[in-house]
Amino acid sequence: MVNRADLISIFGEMVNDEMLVVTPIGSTTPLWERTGRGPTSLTSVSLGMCTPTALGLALALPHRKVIALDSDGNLILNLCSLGTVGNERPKNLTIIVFDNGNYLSGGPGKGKPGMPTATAGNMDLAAVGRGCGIEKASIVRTEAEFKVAAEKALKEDGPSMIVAKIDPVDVRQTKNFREDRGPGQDTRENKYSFARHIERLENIKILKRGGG
Amino acid sequence: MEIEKARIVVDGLKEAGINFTVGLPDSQFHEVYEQILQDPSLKYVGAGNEAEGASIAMGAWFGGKKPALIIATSGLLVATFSLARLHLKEVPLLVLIPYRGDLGDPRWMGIYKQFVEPMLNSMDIPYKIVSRKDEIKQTIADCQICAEAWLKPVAVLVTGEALW
Repeated sequence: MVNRADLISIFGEMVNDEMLVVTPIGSTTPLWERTGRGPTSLTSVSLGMCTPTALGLALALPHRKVIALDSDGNLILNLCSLGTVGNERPKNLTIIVFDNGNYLSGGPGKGKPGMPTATAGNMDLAAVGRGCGIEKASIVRTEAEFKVAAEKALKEDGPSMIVAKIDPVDVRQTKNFREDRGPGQDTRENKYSFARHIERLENIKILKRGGG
Repeated sequence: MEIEKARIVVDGLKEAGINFTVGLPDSQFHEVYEQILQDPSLKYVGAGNEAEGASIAMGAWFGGKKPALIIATSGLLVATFSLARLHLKEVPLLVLIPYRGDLGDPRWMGIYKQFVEPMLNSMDIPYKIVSRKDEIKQTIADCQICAEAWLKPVAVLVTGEALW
């Protein structure tokens, strides 16, 4: 079975600074930061917020490719966002779901899966996506399938959705949950670097000097 | 709700610079939603729940838009988690709510009056209550300015007195 780290590394080679990536909390953000694209992406977006945030971004900037690197537990929390995507049909939005079938909140420190999500049972997120009107929704299970699907999604009009079935566990070793998670940005630093990145790309003003 | 009052709300949003709206409808604001839908300068996205709506609004802000979240009083309770995260990221957002639970509303709506203001206070979301028609526009404008200056969600609660 493929793992999240390898797919993220592959995808990091496919995107460029002109594309905008949104990542959720959990292990996707630190892995995405390893590609060096953290400061030009919107990272650590909280539970249930990744795909809808990417949707708002895609609708605001319809000429620019926007990618949500979502995950099963995150997406299921606000599953209705797929219906909104299916109705708005932004051509520039791609949703990639790293589907490990469990909630990492129980597992990362223990080297074993957390409690199961609905996709560990009967839920098929790609089928849900298609049912919501995201016609280009598919499941991939190998690196080769992922590469083909991701290249297609970046090249063609969307909305598109790739559900990547991945290993239930990202890290086999037992880790201290509170250990240093690496050199990533905190949420406010990331807000400023991402907004500045868009200001440069779009030649627009987003940030104003606040009250102090 | 009178069409004229709905027009005042919509004009207030436009005069405040709002150009992207996200919502999940409340019956008391029905005419507002209808007018927004007909106005492409207020691009409206209908969300499946209010937490999703707040997230869509955040994304739109990063894309350079001035968003407003237009939701029911009960919907504010659903949106709390996303709004807390917007707060953490210091993302400005105007939240417009027809305020239910005041005198004249059914008894069961009293829970909204009981919880909404303490909740906004505990979330450090500033708010203004509008109870007169002629205060609607200025309050929306003031709250939008504050949201941008203070880098946080700011709420406008419009009571039945102003709307009916």
